[in-house]
Amino acid sequence: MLWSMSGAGTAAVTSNFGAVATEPQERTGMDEAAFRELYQRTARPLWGYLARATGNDALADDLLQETFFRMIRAGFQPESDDHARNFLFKVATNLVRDYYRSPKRDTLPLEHSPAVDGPEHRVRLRRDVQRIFKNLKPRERELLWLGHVEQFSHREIAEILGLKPGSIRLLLFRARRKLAALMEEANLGPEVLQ
Amino acid sequence: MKPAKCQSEKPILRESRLGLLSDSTQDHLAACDSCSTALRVDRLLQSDASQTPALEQLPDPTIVWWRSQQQARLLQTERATLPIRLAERLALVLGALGLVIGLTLTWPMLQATLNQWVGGWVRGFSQTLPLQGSSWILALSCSLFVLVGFGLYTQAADQ
Repeated sequence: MLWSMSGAGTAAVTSNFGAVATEPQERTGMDEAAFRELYQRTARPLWGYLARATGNDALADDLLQETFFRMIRAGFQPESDDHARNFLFKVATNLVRDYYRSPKRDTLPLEHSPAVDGPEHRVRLRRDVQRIFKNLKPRERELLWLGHVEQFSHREIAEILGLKPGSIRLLLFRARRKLAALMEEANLGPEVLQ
Repeated sequence: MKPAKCQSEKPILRESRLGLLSDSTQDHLAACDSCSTALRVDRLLQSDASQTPALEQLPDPTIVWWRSQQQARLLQTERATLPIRLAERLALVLGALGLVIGLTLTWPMLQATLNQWVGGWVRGFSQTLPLQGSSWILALSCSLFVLVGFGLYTQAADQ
């Protein structure tokens, strides 16, 4: 019900809530302005990661919110952008893992994610990528996204995924090989990606 | 499968992301399988990442903030009322236990009283039932008593 509120309705809810929300705010040490700033910097990459790791855009929306809820609940105070980013990606990874462990998890196939808008070749590419990603293990998707898109160091990836730093290079190498082979099968060459 | 180590990989990916691939890099890519694979994968992922929806299409931060505050408050309330809820449950368990002990101890007396009290009209039933009529009446009364008590208690606890 809340999610369908218009901007004006949301503002009213926020201002009404302001009076009663002081306690948790004081506990976490982060006010709404600081939260908004952090959200604007980190939400988009985090959503991208969650959407690719789960293969479900709607689920990525939910997990994105849960990631921020957990951050606030934990009373997290970022010391730097990198610190916040690492923390959020780690929480997001744990949520994805919980999702895959959950017996009641939604088994929505990747192709059934909401439609992608944009030029036709872009839409086709996104669909191809989704299909290819479905053939990768969740950890392989996480590794590739963190390494190539977010450009985390191996040490950071190890910390986020809870792996040994020494194993990242090999795991990343294997995931890359597998993705390259799947790209070849799907005829996704460099010319398609231009 | 051992990863083939190529020192040029990182600089090549950096160059590619900037949109500049020099001739020497192109030559290297033609010869190095590891770098060309890394580049192909990197391009695909970068291309896919560029299609991430704009911030405006993601959940509204105002609502995320509001809901997180609500959740935090809910958690605080739950934490604060935990001893009360535990005490309520303990009271319920102790009450039920007391009832069972009480019934067990007073069973002969209750049986005699009930036999006298409802003896007349129970006799008819007792001929058809495998148990004594008074035992059935007693069991049913106890169940009813516990159910009514539990119902009243849960209603009062909710209020």
